[in-house]
Amino acid sequence: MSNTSAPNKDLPGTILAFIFIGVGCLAWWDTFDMGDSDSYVFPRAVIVTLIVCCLLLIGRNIIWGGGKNHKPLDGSAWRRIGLVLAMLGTALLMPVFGFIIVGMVLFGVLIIIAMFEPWTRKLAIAYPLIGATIVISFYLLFAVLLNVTLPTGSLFD
Amino acid sequence: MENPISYFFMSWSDPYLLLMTAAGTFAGVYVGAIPGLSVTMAVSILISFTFSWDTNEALALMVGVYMGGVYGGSRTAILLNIPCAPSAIATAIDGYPLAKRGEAGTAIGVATVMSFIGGLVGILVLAVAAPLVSEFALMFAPRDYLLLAVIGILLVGSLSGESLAKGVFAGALGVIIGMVGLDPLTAEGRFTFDSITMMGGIHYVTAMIGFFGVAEALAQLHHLETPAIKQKLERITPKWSVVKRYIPLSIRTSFIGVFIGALPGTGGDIAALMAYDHAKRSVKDPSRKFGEGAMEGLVAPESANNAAVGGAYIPMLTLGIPGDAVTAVFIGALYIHGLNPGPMLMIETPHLFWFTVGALMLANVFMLIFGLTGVRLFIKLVECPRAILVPLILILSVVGTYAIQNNVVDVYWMLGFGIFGYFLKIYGYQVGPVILGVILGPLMDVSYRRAIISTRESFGDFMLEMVTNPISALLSAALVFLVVSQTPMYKRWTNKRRSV
Repeated sequence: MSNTSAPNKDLPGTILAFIFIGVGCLAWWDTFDMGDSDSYVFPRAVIVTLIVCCLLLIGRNIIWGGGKNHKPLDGSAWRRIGLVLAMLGTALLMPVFGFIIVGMVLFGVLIIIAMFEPWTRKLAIAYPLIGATIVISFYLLFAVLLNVTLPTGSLFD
Repeated sequence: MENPISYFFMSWSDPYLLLMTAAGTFAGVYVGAIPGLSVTMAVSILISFTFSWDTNEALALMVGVYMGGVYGGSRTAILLNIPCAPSAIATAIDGYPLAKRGEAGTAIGVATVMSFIGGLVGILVLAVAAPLVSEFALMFAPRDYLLLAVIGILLVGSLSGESLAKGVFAGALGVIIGMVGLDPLTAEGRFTFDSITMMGGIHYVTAMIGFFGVAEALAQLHHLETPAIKQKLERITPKWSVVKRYIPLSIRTSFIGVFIGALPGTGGDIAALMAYDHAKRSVKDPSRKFGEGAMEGLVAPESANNAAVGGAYIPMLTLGIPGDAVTAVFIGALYIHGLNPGPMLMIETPHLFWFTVGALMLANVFMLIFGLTGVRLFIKLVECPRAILVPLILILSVVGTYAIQNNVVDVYWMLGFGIFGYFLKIYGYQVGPVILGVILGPLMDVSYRRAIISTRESFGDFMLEMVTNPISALLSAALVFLVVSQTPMYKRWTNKRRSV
């Protein structure tokens, strides 16, 4: 078992810091489009702070070793990838099919992704029903009671 | 003229006003607990309903929503680690670990009672010392707001993180995210990369739901094999001995809350963080380590953010300057009802001041009642199987994000922030400073520019004023101390002193 408190080189943290130096440079480049000096002075100061902090983190990780060893990730990666894809699909399909249909499908997919215990007939009936109830309740709460428009779907317009 | 006491008790004695305040507080508690539904949004919607109402009825309802809403954010922060309002970010630091230990009932009970005490202190200061506090709050210059915002971001980084550099990095990133969109002073596009979609900017609630909600759902997938934690629900209302133990801390942090709340443009978020910092520094023997479910870490922010409600009313009622976004909407409501908010409000319509104070007090009592009831049902949320909990968090996140601007682009942003927040979380970075950066970034930006304009664009004068003006010098010293206290050298020195 790995020791969680021993210092290490914190490779992911170092990579993240390098990525954000890149992001900082990109943001700096965007400030050239700002014509008014008042618009870019503050953003540039923040970008410099970001880059300096990233350099400090990289320096600390490389020279002294930084952070703590991170526990290896439990659980399967496909579940997390599945969750992200399901959410992406929701954002893509919601304007077309509307909140209720896409919400119910999303809830169903997410139940499958997050289900760990063995499926029984009772659960197979109860969980989708709970999902449908929750989605419809949210729709009623937001769209009907609070008058917050939720997408009805361009397919049904 | 009738005496102020009769105006104070008007909402208590009139059954209709009593009902309005109760309904508003009840709605506020539950609206505040739903991601995407902010108190500002709820009060704004209510204004349109109250056009034709009597001013007192409208005020009673809105005051209730405000008081209940500020408290409501703590519930999802404790139960799901989703702070529905910026003022609940600090609550989640120790509240969620308590729920993970099966103590959500106790946590909500203590949070409710301490919110009540905070609210009470805020209202008392409003009633007794409003003009005095207001005068002092107006002495704060733009550079002081800049310093306050920087302290706020650094506080959350240093409070919960292992490294100050990581906290500053996360805060700076948040400020950059908060600056995406049109420049508030020149309307020039910043970090938009010529994309029309990005010109609208990124709403902080989108970032908050992504970083907390989606990231939490992704993190939950790591623990599918562990059963949901059974919550201990023997007692929701905390014992008097427990309340008595935390009252001194609650009162101290409430005063922090009132004062920060009284500063125009700030609010419960900075107040709660400063209170949390105060608790961490002043409590020598916490119930548990801070960040791992210390009750003191819950008491301080909850007292402060509700005390900030009374504070926010101080500049509004005495000077017509909104203390925060909600009181800005209130000012609009007063105009609609034919009143003229400003320095003359208290002279021309003193009854309005005392009526508001009375309604706030009543709403605070209702908040205590509604806060301590219905908890058992709410707590079932954390006990439900993960196959239901994860979809529930994500559906709530989608609806909440979409509801902010009725724009599906926000859902993409939320997802992006969620994935990014998940990686930050697993690699030991704090998401709190990112959110604080998104929220306080615009305040920092505008304050810096106002400050530099006030010194005729002279950076030297700007820096000089930072150390010569008493308030700025005090805040600068606090900032320097905050940074120095996070350096390894200072930590080694304090450890050595403690061991001696």
